[in-house]
This record gives sequence, C-alpha cells and structure tokens, in this order.
Amino acid sequence: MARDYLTDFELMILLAILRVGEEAYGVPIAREIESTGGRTVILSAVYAALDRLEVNGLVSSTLGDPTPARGGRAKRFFRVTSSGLKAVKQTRRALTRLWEGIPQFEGGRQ
Amino acid sequence: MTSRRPPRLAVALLERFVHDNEPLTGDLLEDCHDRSDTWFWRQVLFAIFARSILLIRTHPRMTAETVLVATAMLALLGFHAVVAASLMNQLLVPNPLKWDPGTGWLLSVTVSCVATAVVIGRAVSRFHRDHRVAAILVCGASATIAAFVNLYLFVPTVPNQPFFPEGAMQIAVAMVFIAGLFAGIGSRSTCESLRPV
Repeated sequence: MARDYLTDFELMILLAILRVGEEAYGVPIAREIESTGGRTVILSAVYAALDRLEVNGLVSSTLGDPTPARGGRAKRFFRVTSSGLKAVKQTRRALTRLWEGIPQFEGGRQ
Repeated sequence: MTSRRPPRLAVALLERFVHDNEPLTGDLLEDCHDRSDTWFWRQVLFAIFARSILLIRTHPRMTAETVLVATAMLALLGFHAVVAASLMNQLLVPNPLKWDPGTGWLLSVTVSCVATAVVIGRAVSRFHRDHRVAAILVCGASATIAAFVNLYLFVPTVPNQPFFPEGAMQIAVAMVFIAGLFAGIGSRSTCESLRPV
C-alpha cells in the first residue's frame, strides 16, 4: 500500500531529480544531495529509495546506453511523475504549515 | 579527473553479490574515479548489506534454505579437509598395523564409489532445488553409508577400532564419493541450463 507522505530522504531525492533535470541518474542525484544537503550519500540507499518511489508511482525510470566509463553498464535515468510532483507540493505545504506559529522561530530568533 | 581504479576485491564482491543491479554497479564504477578506496568499500559493503536485507525480506524461506545448505556444505568440506590432513599424516607416518588392501582393490572400489555417487548425484539433482534439506540428508546418508561399507571392507578384522588414524582410507573414499555426488548433481544441472526453452 502506497504511503501518503514522503520521508526526508525521499523528498531530497525527488527535489534532486527535479534540479538535475533530464540527466538525472544515480551519480548526479547523489552528488546533488551531497552538495546541497550537506550529507554523505550511499548510492545503494538512493537506489533503494528510488525503487520505493517508483513502486509508489512517484518516479519513472528508463535505461540508457552502456558506456565504457561505467564498465559497459547502462545508466538508469529517473524523472518525477505528476504524482511525484503533487507529493512534493503536498509535503512542502505540510512542512510550511508546521513551521508557522512556532514561538522559537518567530521574530528572526532561532 | 584522475583515472584511479577501484579495489579489485571490492569490484569482485560487487559483481558477485549485486550483479542484478547494473545501474548501481555502473554508477559506483563511474563515481569511484575521484573518490577514495574507503568510500568505494563503504558503498560496496552497504550495497551488499542492503541486497541481503532485501533478499531476506522478499524471500525468507529461500534465504534460510540457502544459508542452511551453505552451512552444511562448509561443515562437510571442513570436516573432509581435516580428514585429508589426517590422511597425509597417515601417509607420512606409516603405521605397521595398517592393513594394505592392495592397489587393485582400492582402484576398483574407488571407481565403483564414483560411479555410484554420480548416479545418486544425478538422482538428487532432480529434487535438490525444491527439497534442499532432503537433498542434504540423502547426500550425507549415502556418503556415510559408503564410508561405513568401505570401513568394513578394508578393515574387517578390527571393527571397533578408533576412528583415527585407521579410518583415513574410509574417509578418503568418502571424499571421492562426495566429489562424485557433486559431479552428478552438477552435470545434470548444467544439462538443464543448456536445454532450450
């Protein structure tokens, strides 16, 4: 059964795919998360999350051509589906609502 | 970008255990050029761990059976390795009480054992994929019986003697028998894999 919410890692992956664009496969997705998220990424964890997102219909993937730099292995390109985009927006709205009204974050204090 | 190569052992482990995830393997090989060996090893070990967890969750029974078979095989081979060492010791330190059955007898019995084992192995190969526990029991029982029969054939005058070192010949024949079992199982499995669908 598909979940109605995204984990923080799933959200980061979806946003990374959207940022990378057409060339979104494992390496640039992981690097995007590392550079913008400031965290070390395990590639197999990225693929595990991507598989989960694909099962839930939030991303789709296509296999590219094998390249010598990858030992003759094909790339798997990902793109966010309309359901995925909707999930990202819903999560953003939910997080924004959660941020509002917290006294510790009011008036520029952190 | 430097053109450094990833650790061979890590690549071999990746090929062996994550062979069905071509994009992940390709990504790791592509991204390793400007990363450290530690990074690559961490990625590979985590990929193998994640793959194992996925297998356990999706195929728990098959995983348990595979572990059982692997453990049984390791125990069997370990046992025979110890016995092989005992046999070498027996050859290096000749025991005057040892009964020599003669080369002709030894050869004929060994050939008979191999032939019997191959036949049993091919029979076991019919059901070893679906009934692995039964296959282990049949292989173990047939090897034990073969060793038992050889003990009585070649050491008939001292039936209750200690297992070591007089049992070395029995174990040597048992090892040949088990090799025949593997050959029988493997030959049929190879034939099946080559059969057109």
